[in-house]
Amino acid sequence: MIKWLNPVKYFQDKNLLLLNLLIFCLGTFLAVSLSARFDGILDLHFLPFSRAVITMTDNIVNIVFLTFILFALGRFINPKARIIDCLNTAFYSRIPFYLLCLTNIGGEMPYLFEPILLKVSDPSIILPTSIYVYVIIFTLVSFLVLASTIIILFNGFKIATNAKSTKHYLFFVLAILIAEISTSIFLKNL
Amino acid sequence: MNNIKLPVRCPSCDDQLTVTQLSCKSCQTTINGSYVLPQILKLSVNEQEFIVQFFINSGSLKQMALQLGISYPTVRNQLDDIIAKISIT
Repeated sequence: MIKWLNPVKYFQDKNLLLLNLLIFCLGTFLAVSLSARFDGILDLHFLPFSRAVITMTDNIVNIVFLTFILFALGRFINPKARIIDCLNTAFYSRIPFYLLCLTNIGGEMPYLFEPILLKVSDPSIILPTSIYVYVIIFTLVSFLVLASTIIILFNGFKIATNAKSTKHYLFFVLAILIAEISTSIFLKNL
Repeated sequence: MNNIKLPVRCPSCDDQLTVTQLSCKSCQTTINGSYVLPQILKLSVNEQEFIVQFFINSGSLKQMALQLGISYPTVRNQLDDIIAKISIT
């Protein structure tokens, strides 16, 4: 389990890159099939209709931005940091989001929160318990996905840069925030 | 390699220890003096093992990574940590 959450530590770079490219193709295909879009490195939204170009662009932009931001910070911390390790980290960190796409197998996810929003505007509406159960489960799974993504990013970054101090970890948090904000702005204006 | 950890720091004042006695197992001859520990003996057993592997692999970190079943940056980080430790001591 630990090995799979820290692939940059255990797997040879070129083998991992090949595996990552395969996962990228499968993950993008899955996301397109299940009408997902990734409008930020830590974002996932479901569209009413599948839009292959949007989903693919999202995924590529997220990986490219994340790679270069991690690499820039990596070089600042350790001049020996290599781009292939940052690229592998960025590619691999997408896996939890690909898995989260599976929650839209029935195509109901774009409409999941609609009854809740109606309830907020009109409290007299009575909703079936199953809706609350779905929302709670999806929220818990989303937190799990977010946590795994951050763990993978952190582990990969730590190995790629040999980061050890609190200052380095704070820089990492800042880099993730910058990557999230920049990809969101870039993809919204595309 | 002997797995018993060689103490390099004084448990009372944390100053560096020196070798004051050497003995021959077969004839029981003992030599007294004050010898400073070589840099390599100040490292942990794992770090010493890493250096041995480094020599066996002719200094190729990629070869070492394959042999140890870990990635290249992991091996490079271990080497950097040992270099940093030696530079401090």
